[in-house]
This record gives sequence, C-alpha cells and structure tokens, in this order.
Amino acid sequence: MSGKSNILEVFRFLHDAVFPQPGREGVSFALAQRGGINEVLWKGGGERLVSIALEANDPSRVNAEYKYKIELISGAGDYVTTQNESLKLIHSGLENDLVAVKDGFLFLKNLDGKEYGGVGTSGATALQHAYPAWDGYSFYEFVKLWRSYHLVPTSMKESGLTREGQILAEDGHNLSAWLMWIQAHSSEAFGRVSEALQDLFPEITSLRAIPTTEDRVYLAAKEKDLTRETRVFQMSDGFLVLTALLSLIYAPPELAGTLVCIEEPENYLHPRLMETLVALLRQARQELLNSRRTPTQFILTTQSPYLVNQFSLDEVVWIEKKNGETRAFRPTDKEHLRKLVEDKEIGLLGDLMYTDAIGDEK
Amino acid sequence: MNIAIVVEGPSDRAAYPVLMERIRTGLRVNQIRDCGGKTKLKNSFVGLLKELERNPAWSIERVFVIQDSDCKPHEEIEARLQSKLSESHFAPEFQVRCFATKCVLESWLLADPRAINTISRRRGKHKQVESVQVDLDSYKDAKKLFWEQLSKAELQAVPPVYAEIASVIELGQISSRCLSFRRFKEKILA
Repeated sequence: MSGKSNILEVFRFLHDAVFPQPGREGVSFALAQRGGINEVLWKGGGERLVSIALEANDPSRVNAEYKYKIELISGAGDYVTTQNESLKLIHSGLENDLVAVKDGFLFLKNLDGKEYGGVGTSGATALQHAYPAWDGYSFYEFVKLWRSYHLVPTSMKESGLTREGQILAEDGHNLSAWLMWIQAHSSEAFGRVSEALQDLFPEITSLRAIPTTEDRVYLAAKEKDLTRETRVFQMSDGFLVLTALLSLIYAPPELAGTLVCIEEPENYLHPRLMETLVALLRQARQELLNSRRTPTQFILTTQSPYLVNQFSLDEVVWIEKKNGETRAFRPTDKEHLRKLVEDKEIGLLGDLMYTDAIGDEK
Repeated sequence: MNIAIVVEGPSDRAAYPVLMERIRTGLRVNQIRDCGGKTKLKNSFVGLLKELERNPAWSIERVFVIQDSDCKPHEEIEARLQSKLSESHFAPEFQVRCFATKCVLESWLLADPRAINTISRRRGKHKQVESVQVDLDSYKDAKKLFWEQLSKAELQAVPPVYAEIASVIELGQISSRCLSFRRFKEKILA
C-alpha cells in the first residue's frame, strides 16, 4: 500500500541483508523480517525477481563511485537464491569488480585481482562477509551506518536501558539512553541539542539524562516556573520528536549515520518549526563541509507542504503510485515546474505538491 | 504608535520587531503574522490585513508588509504587493506600507560582526567572527554566509538568536553598509 515508505524500505532491506542478526544469512534474515519472499515481491505481477541497484560516491577517495547490485530469485517452494551480486568501484574512469559470482559461489575480490571467500548463493550476500582488508570495505562500512526512523512519541516516553543508547532506535524508544550516550561522548553535541531546544521551547531551562540504579536512564527537563523537573513520560510529543531530530542532526561523527532516513519528521511538530529545523540541518551540514568532513545524508519522506517549502526543486524526489507501482522521479527535470518555482508564479513547492501539479511522470 | 507586521517566516518574526522598535522610539509591534514563505505572504497578506482590522482592541495604526527581495528589484516587489492590495478593494483604516528587503534579512544582520560576537559571549561561547567583506546589498548567498558566521561563533540559526543579534546590532553600521536599511528606516520613521 505504501509509496514513499517503499523507497526507504529498500534501504532497510539491504541493511538487514548485509547486517543480519548474528548467525543468520543476510538475505534469509531480511526476507524473514518481512514475512517471506512473497511479501517482498511486487504483488502486481508474476515476476519472481527482486533487483536492487544503488550508486554511491566514496568521499574518502577522489572521483570514486560505487555501483552495487543484487538480484534475488525465488524458485520452487519460495526458495530464494542470490542470482547475481556485484559491487563495482569506478575510480578515475576505471571500473573494478569487487564482488564476483563463479560457479554458484560469491567471492570478494580486491583491486589486485585476489579473491577471497566463496560464499554460497543461498540466502546470503557477499557483502555480509566483508573483512577489513577487502577493497570494498568502505562501502560495507557505509551501509553499516544507515539509519532509518519512524519516531513514535509514546514509545519515547519510556525510560531506557543505559546500555542500549549507542544508536537511536527506529521508533526512538531509547531516546533517553541515546541522549545520555551523546552526553557522555560529546558534551558539545549534547550542548547543541540542549541549546536549540531551549531556544525553540523558551520555557525549558535545562535538559539532562539521568541514570538510575536499575541500569536505566530517563530524560528530564527543568522548566521555568516549575519547581520540579519534568520527566520524559510527561514531555510533549512535539518536544520529544524535536529532541530526537536535533540529536540526529548534531550527533557526533562517531555516533552519526552515513545515511539517515526519516519518515514524516513533521509529525507532532508545529509547522513553524519546519523552517528552523531545516535551517539547523543546513547549517550543521555546511559546518561539516567547511571542515572537510562528510556530512550525514538525510532522506526525509513527507506529506507536509510546509516541510517541502523548505527545499529547492533539485532536492525533491517525487514518489507516486501508478498501476500498483511505486515510481520516483525528480521534478527538477520538468522545465515548466522549474520555471514556475523560480518565478514563484503558482507558489512555493509545497503548493505545487498540494495541488498535485508535480505528480504524473509523463 | 501601535503597529503590526506581516512577514515571511519565524526568523523575520523574531528580528524585525526588535529592529523596528529600536529604530523608532515609541513604536510598538503589537501583532505579528508570519505566513510560512514568500508566496504565502503574497497570497495571504490581504486576508491577514482584514484579520488585523477586525480586532479594534489592538488599535493598530499602521501595518508593514515585509518581504525579502532575494536581490531582485525591490520596487517591483513593493509595487506588486501594493497593487494586490488595491485590486482587493480592501481599504483598511490603518496605513499599509509594503517593503521589500534587499536581499534578505540576514544581509543586514551580517553588517556588524560585533553583534554576533556579543551574543556569542553572552551565551558563554568563546569564538569570535570577523567582518565579512561582501557587498551586502547585492550578495546573493547572505543567508548561507550568515549561518556560517553563526557557526563560527558557535551559535545556531534559530529565531531567538536572530532576535538577540537584532537587539544589539549597531544600526548605524547597518545603514552604512546597506542602502536598503536606510530606506527601511525612512519608512519606519515616516
């Protein structure tokens, strides 16, 4: 049924396939998480092939680009094998294969031609067997740090286990522990989250993560005019979601993801906060670029014209469902739309989105 | 004098009232409406003027409709807003002044680095910024440049920071670097 979420689901699927639970084969794990191959295959046709391709730039190498592709085929009895998997490093115009498939086995290959591994194609990905000396390891590390979020305030109102704070969970349920982790690892990052929150919620005077003797942690905020702290379970939905979003923007490099996908970040937030949120995101991104560090790439899905208004046409990918298929295209390729937005004749991008003027790929 | 302003977004909402009340003693920005963007302002300001007139308790004597020009000719933008009002046949009891800031609000806030430094110090930061050497009345990336200045001073691009900078910025310094600010002052003082 979903459209935009399908796109993010591709990233989640691939992440699961490369980083399954310990002892599990990647593809089998990723499929099992989704109810099996029949729940993953497109339900509008009889094809038994799942094909995922992605391209990525490698910021650690000048003029280097990765092209990754995986094809999963479902056979009799819904038995799934990796029909093909490839990773190419394109460096200064030269294309190098870093994954090879031979005689039904997947091999990791270095630039000097040496091959390692020999993984069976049943239910596995070559990538999940990456090791540090492999020349494609930076791609593996890149995928490892993909994060995906669909924040749920009711889950965020729980205290969390202190040890579970290294990564903010998809629904944000460990927000308190995550903030404590940030607080412990980078007082600067925590300070920025806290300062932004105090600016955007002027009644807040301080924010802290408080550990308990039961190895749990909860968030607490001091508010003007209140003599006792407000604990996480009493905090407003909007405050918690904004806290989580700011923590993702200001996460220190060692805790930040390479790609952060957020589903409908506008939920629970006042529309006026959209402009400030995107301004902070852009400012933080520029800081990293100015210091020659690679910023986290954010992909946001949204239903909000207010949020869309904060972006340029070049930054928007339009997703629509047609004949049961989810299709994505860049509206910037449509000259008339570009002109409308430049001239501000019809309105902002959000108005175009609202009126459905962006839609229809034709 | 009680006035109201109609502006584009939250940063404008934060900074313009502070600047205006500093420019003219006795002026009070009683009501602020931010529209969520340039086009929304263009399309909704007449409606907002009607809304502002509806409550006599506010005793609004003048309304300023303020829009960034994004470095385009300000006269055209102001004329367009004015004609939109005329075409609506709405004749409010208060005066309406349309103003297009050249290029963006941030162009003015860049004029005096000491203001950024003061706020940075007040917030317990230790980094300072230098003056930016660009023509502020024509520099197209003023917003980005302003955010970079804020980053250097360890400040975040949030409306309260805009308001604080507006509260300490040397108005004479803005006037000397931005012709558009002189024009703005004249409009406020007239």
